[in-house]
Amino acid sequence: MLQITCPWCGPRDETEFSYGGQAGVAYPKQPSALSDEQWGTFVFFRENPKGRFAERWVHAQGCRRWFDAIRDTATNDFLP
Amino acid sequence: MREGHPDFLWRNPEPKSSYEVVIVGAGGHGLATAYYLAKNHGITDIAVIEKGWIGGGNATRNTTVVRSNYLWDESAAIYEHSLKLWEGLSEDLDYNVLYDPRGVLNLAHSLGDVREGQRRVNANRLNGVDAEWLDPDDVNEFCPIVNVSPDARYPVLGATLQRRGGIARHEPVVWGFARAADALGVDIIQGCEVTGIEVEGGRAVAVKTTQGRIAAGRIGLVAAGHSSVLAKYAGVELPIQSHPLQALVSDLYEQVLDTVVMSNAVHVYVSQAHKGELVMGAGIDAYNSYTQRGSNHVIEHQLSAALELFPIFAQARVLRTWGGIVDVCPDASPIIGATPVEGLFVNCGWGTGGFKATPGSGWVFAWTLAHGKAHTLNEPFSLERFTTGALIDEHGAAAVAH
Amino acid sequence: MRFTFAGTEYEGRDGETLAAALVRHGVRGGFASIGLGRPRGVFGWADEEPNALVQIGPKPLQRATLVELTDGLVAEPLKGKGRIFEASDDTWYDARYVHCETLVIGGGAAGVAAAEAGGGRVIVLEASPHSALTSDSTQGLRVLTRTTAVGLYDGNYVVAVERDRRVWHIRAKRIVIATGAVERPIAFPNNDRPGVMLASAACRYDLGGARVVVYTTNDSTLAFPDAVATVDARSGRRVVDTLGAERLEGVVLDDGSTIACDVLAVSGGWNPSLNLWSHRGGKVQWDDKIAAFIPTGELDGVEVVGSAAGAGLPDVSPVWLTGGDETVTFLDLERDADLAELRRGIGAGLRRAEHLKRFTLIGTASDQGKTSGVIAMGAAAEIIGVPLADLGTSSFRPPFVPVSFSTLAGRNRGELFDPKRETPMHAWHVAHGAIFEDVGQ
Repeated sequence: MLQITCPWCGPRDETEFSYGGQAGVAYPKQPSALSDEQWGTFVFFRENPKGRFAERWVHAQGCRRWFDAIRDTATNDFLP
Repeated sequence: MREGHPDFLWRNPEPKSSYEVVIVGAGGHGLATAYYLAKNHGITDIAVIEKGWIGGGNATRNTTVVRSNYLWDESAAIYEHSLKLWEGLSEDLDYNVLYDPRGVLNLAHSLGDVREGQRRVNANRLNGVDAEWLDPDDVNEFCPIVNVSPDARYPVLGATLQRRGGIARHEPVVWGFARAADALGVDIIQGCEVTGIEVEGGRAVAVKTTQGRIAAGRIGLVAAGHSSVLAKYAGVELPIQSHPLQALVSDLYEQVLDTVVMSNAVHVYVSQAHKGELVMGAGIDAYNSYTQRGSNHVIEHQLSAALELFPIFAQARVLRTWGGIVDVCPDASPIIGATPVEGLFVNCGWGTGGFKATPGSGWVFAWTLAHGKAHTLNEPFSLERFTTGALIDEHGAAAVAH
Repeated sequence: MRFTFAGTEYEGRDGETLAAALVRHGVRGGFASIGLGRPRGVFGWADEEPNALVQIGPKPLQRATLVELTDGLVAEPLKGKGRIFEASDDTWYDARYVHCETLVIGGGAAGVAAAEAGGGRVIVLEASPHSALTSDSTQGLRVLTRTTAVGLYDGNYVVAVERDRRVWHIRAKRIVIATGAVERPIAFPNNDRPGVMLASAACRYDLGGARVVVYTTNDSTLAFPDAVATVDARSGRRVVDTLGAERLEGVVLDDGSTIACDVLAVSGGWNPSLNLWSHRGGKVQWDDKIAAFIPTGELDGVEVVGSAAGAGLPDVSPVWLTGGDETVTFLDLERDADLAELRRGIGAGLRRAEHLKRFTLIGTASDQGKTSGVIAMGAAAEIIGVPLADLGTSSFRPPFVPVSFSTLAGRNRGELFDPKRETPMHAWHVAHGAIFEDVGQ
């Protein structure tokens, strides 16, 4: 059971959160301008590092707000 | 207690400086690839390199379910090809892999499940895959310990049954492929971690390892869990996320369950191994992780679900839980084939269901490495499908939600 | 009080375990091994017991060493496999969720010291019914007896089970592992005969007038003033065989002489209990002096103290191989796995602990290899001719002891498994005869 620090509510159990995957993936400004390859990359490809990973969480059972966190996927430790 | 393994399994050779084919990952799929390369294509100058020990990753962490009842034509073809190989595998490898076609039940708990299940039965039959639809009474007759009471929280409204599906045992499968490949001259190098892939002029030419540089004519990455990390050494991105998937076994009990029961809605898949332990899989943990461990609440939920379906398990005891790392693709189907780097091929993305595909996966990947292009069976499972959009969405046929 | 074992009624005492009562009544055997059906008897004192497994009503594979006697208890010996069946059960399974600054796992001397030094709210988990500490809410001290920590998870999260019916979920700032060490046996031919016991168990049981021989590799077995003989491996002496059939009648020494006895108290050394440390990914290293694995490296917020860290354990001159008939030299009693099979696995090309474990099944039984893992690795290393550390280690997985499905499922059964969600209009719909489609929500 991870302990995840919600920036608004403080440290809470993992079961209060839902996972949102990689952080910082921007929706393309002009989707129609993308090639199939670029669109496919935007839709399907996400970082999957072993180590530092910037990711999204939502405090679904709490304040219901989204936030970013950095976690080491090799240890599950959240990093400052 | 004697397990009936043979008197000789494999050599422990030192790596040579160069091989015709280097396979990264000595799990079931990697070893099967090496075996079929040697047996079917006459290529024996092969190294299978493994950072840990033979079969130490997902090959030893799965719940050993074998079936081929997938929805789409492309999947049915490759999984059915695999199932046919399972049917002759013990003889082929001269090693009893304990493949036991005891039937696989997929329970339906809602009208949506029923429609999806019946559709899948029809699709399977059109593809020559054996499939039956069972009403709740039939389910009760086929597997009396399943709770089919209409009062259950998720009542059983029916089930699909694939009688040729069942279980096998992972050590004989992995060790059988390893032994057979070794006997054909394949070098299996354990304790050898890949730390880089050398690419020259757009072509992969060698792997850098903790035991030195190993040149290769062709390289096949078959390292579930770490596919993204390895591909990245060659600058290749994969549409894969790595998640923990947990499973558990109980103590040993007198036999109570002689089939495999799966329920997508309630998140249970369970069988009882020949020795007597109940083997159960849980759902994946939501977050990305390479730790090979998950959270306890996933296990607790799994047991609540199991008791809903199997009241007889009330006093069964969890003996051991563990986690593996599963490579999950956006469409819950694997990627088997070429990459943008010449000479570099991947076999990954099997998600939660790779064990059943072990022989078929090795067979098609061997063909692919031998010919430098995909076999018709794995052509649809290309990396390009994430550009063309020709996805093979098998979320419905997977055992657990991805 | 009275209890029944294998159809025979015995008198029991308050606070006694089933195993202790059986030993006191002179029952040396009473059990049979899973594969070969060889006679076996009580061997250990607590959760390391590999032989004395019983079925108690619907509860399979209970360790007689952990079963506290109650009046009218009926226990049936099991041959390695239990039985599960549907039975009514009025047990109230539940869970607690708590936080503390200091969590001490193990209520022995090291645990007590850690609890006394610990700051803030302190929780002490003690597997046995007894603790030197008592809860004191004014001091923020909570002592849970009959409570076993079964898993250590990410985020300093410990799952513990109280009496197989209440699950404690504990989030701690700091975790002190003070789980002690478990004695291990020595492998020699017919080392499974009923009456062969761990020395640490034998010295705690009421053996009546039994003639005891001690066989040791270290200084931890001095508590046998009435022993008929002590065979000290450090002076080169070996027990090379045992005599008897259904129960031990004597031992054979390396010089061919025999000593008649009823109990052989064996000490092959001590294994620090590092399961929990390993659950979180903690590393271990081999220590030649005490011939055991000790913790190494760091885990954030977790420390290991006392004999779990190897402190105070005696120097050991291990005996891994004795010679003689290896098909009756048992390494894993619960799995009935012998030295001959281990040697065959090595001959097959296996060089790693994980492979040998899977080839022989050593360490895979419900005792999780508490008495078998290290002696198998020691033997394998000596056969292959490499340092023991070269074989790698086999990591431990939760739970530390088996836990019933009912316990872990807790209250989340039936209607509470997944509460039904209904719309505010649901009652109105029902009243007006609506027909519902089961959409699985």
